[in-house]
Amino acid sequence: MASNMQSIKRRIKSVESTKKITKAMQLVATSKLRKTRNQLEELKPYYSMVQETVAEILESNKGNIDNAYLKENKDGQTVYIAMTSSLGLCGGYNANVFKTIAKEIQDDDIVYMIGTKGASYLSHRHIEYKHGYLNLNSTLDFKEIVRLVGELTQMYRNREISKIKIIYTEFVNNLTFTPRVVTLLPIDTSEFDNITVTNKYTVFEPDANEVLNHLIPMYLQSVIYGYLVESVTSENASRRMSMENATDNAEELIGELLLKYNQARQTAITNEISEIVAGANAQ
Amino acid sequence: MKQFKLKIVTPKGIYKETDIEMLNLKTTAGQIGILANHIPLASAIDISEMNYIENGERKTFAIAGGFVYVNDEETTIIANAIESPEEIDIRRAEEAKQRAEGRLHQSQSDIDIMRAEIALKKAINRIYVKNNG
Repeated sequence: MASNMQSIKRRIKSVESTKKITKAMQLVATSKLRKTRNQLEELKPYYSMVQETVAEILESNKGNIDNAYLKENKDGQTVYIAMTSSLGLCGGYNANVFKTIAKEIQDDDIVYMIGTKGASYLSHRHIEYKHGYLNLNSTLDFKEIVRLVGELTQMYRNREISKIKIIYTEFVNNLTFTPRVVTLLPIDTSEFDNITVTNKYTVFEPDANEVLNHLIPMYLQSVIYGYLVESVTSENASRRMSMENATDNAEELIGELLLKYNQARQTAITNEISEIVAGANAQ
Repeated sequence: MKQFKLKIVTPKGIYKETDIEMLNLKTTAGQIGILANHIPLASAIDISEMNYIENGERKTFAIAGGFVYVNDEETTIIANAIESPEEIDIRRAEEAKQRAEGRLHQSQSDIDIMRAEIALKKAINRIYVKNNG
């Protein structure tokens, strides 16, 4: 009986220390989530401005523009940019992205991986990937994005690649986040259908094509950066949620174990008393 | 003089939103000046000095490339980086200049040389604006 009580006590202790860890992780994730959400808000004016301008130029010049970024290169590989996390304990966040990767990515595609969890997943499945931007999800460095876009647009203009797609996790609200696949290049003009074009007679200096050659890389930078910040926000939200659940579960478990412990203690006391009484009666 | 609205956005949020009389900047096709009631215009901005006149006072900035879009309601500048002379870290700019020059001498591939040239241009522009702005 005594050994049973001791083992229950030991379990309570171990669950309690687990609870401390999950509680701490939850608090860290909450504050990080607030930070990345603010960042996402700050980015919005820039992102929507760039998107509106691109939409306006493309809409008002429909059919007249012969730009390399609007045409698909028929032969050439597809490039994927996939965003995962570098830290664990974030619930189903990575698993959901992996599922999308498994469904989307073919053997001869080029994969740019962001986040070390995704990298180890791909190594495990013997898929090659580019690891130059693995830590982008922790640095959130815009200069690195500029470098990445420079590299990709160069390949696209050289007709080495046919398409650029991105796999990221959309942040719907604090509890909902879903992985999404979006085509970055060639630019899908149907995405701009909900944006109203205000002015049809814009002057382009020196010409529309030249302006687009400058604007589209900027557009890609802002879109990729936006998706990156959004994915990191989803990661933190997912971590906060799963850590909150873990803390709740630990609390529940501690309650159950405490009940069992008290029952065992009570049984031991009753046993002792009945032994003493039996001993006294025998005399 | 008649004023018009200017909005400058960067990836870090809205940098400035103000009413100005005149905007001077260098597009990839050359120097232009924008006054109120300008026709709608879209153009890429070179790595250059940019200035505007706000309430009779000229304010100068270093812009590391970007995009300008003029329409009836407002003029928008989209920039990856923009700094006033007070915000420019001259030591960082000098260091960046030296780094870029070093890379220009060593680099073999065209892409590296192109990147170093852009970095050098940005650094020189910052130093120029800091000293003359």
